[in-house]
Amino acid sequence: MSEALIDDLLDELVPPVEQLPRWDDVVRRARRLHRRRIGLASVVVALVAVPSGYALAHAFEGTPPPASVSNAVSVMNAMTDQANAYAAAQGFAAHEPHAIGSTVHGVVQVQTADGPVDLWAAASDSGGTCYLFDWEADGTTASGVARAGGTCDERLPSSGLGVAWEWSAEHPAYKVVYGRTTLAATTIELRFADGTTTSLPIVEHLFLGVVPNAQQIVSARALGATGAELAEQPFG
Amino acid sequence: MIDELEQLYRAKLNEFVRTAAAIAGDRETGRDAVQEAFVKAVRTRRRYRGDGTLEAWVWRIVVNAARDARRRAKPEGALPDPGGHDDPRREPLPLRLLTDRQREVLFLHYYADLDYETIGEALSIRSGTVGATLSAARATLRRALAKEVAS
Repeated sequence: MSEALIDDLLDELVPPVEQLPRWDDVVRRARRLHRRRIGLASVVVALVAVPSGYALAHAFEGTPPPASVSNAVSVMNAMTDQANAYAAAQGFAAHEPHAIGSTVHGVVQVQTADGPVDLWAAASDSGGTCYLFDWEADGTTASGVARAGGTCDERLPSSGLGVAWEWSAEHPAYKVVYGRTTLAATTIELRFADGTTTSLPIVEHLFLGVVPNAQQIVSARALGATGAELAEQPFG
Repeated sequence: MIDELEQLYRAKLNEFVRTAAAIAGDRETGRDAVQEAFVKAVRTRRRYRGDGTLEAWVWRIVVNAARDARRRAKPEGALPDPGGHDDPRREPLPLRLLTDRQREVLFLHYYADLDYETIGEALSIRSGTVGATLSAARATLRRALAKEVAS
């Protein structure tokens, strides 16, 4: 009898009601957030002069990946295989590229109070670029795979500048900002709602930064060596 | 991956909303938490490493979103909950005797009909702990309900 009472109690707490799916709302909001992606600087990089930022970035460039990152690339490729197989089963000709494991190397490392965030890059088997980043503090899965997220040959806007940011529950105080540009830019300048700006160095056409989650980014500009604006991505 | 997320959303929306509503405190907040959780799942899908089921990964995001919603709903200056968990809701007394973990395990088991392994992945605890927690929660509820019936 008491089990039935427990059932009644829980039914009373939240009665079963048929929910109307609102998947369009999910997709629309996810895209809106995607459009708000910005090139943001790291807290540390934001506080140092641009030349020091360059020095920090280039100090990490070329670093060989640890096994956990190589494993993450292998997993990413395995997932690509699954996606390609699924697409083929659905009758689509789309073929997602793979990262070439032997070319994985460090690009930019940003120091934060939560530990370093690393940006890794590799050539793709379709001639493009793959990249992924991970918080070193996140460690690995039980099978030794870094908890990294990445992509290959992402399609850039016609401006040639693609900026993204991600927030995670593991590091709630920060946003990780990253992206790629095909322009001959040397710096990404971020402008915040409070009127301040910060700069991110571009290394191998990629950039990475970490900013306080509370910072609202207004725009990101790709600047050339002379400071000339090559592209701008507004956010709002 | 987006197709799989959409399939999961459509197939289990009622279970997601019911569970999130129980954790968050009311149905509307729970429904918003589910929407928010799936927005995050779509945005961060590349961080799914495949070392557990996709459903468990999504459940973890939904539970976290519902917890956040519950915390946001807590009135400023509210007194501590007598049951030991900061809970803004007006729940039946027996449920207020449970710990947060017991409540979440109970809700995931009852509303979503998840197996112990998936609940364990969603809450980052071992499946053996899920079983023990569920037993303890049921025992507490049985005792409390028996007292209510007797009185």
